[in-house]
Amino acid sequence: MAIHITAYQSRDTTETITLRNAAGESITLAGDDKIRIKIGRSGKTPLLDILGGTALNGTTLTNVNPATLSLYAASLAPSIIKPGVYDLEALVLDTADNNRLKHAESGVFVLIGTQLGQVGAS
Amino acid sequence: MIITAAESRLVLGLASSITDADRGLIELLLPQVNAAIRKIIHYDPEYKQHVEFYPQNEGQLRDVSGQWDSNGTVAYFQRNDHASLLQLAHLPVRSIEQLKADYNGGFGQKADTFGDDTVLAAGTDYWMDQLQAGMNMTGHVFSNTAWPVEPGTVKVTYYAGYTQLELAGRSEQDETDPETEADGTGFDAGGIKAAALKTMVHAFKHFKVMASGMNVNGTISGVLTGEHMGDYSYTKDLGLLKHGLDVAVPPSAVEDLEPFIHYGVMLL
Repeated sequence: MAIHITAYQSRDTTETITLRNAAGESITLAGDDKIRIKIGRSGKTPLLDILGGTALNGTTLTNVNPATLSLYAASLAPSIIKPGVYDLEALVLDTADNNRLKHAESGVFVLIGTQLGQVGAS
Repeated sequence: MIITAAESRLVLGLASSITDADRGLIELLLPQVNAAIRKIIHYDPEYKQHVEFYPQNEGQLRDVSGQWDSNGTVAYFQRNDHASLLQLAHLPVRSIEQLKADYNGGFGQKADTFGDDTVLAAGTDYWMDQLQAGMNMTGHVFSNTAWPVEPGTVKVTYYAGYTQLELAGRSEQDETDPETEADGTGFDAGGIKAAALKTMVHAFKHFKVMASGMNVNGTISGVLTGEHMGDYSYTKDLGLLKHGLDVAVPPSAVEDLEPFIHYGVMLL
């Protein structure tokens, strides 16, 4: 399996993400481990860099596996990210191992364009 | 890269499930697809900064007409051939950050060259061809007088290429690109991305077919090494067939690239 998220421009989206090891088994997180998700293009600064437990423009990510990624509309505004297909990388910040950032899974993030008007706004 | 791993996975039907071997193959092919596209259009189509020295070679010396110019202490002869036109290597030129001319340039390797006193003024000493603001499709930069003809005497720092939004055919004139912060142009360079994706699919499937040892007719290629008549079976040595890797741009992709080919490279 691989992570494949479809979201919509300036709309709230909630996704459940299961991190797996090379054998396809669900990863068990230690107490203080954090999940981090980067969305963008290889070799470039991520357009979205979400750290579990830290809100980013209202977007949140839980530090449990499976994790819940709640993308808030403001994080998907056109000024931040445009409709298109982006690389997604899920990582684990392993606190027991000197906070090393470990790759967990790569995937595809698809942002679909929407009509004007943000949720809760005009 | 013109295309991403995610885009490749999507067009290959591998967005939701993919093996590590296929991830590796896509990663291997991405730069090769990029190179195959660059080879046809003759420049790097991705928006980025370039620092280059011109002229890149002696050029054609058959025309010896021209005039004398001076830097205040030394007189230099300026040939007339292409003297007022400087051809840049990458397209489209979006902005020239700095342009310097130093008759003693030596491609920036000689001591005390390209100092602040060699900076030329945009709009006064030079100006560039523009289809619209920030879109110089030819790479032509014109001098008010004449460019030095000695190789490595002009140093140009400039931005060229298409933003990811333009490559995706999604650029709007009134919207800034979040990735590059370049002003929107509304220019559609989707043909380049389309060509790259077609090339990726072609190369990926070609490799998979070769790796399986199967030819285009669906039969197994290779040297017959064993055969049994009862419960018929055969074995073949696939040998080097397994290692075939051909990143060729398919004909329809070449057609997509036609409007973006840099014919001005002949002047470099």
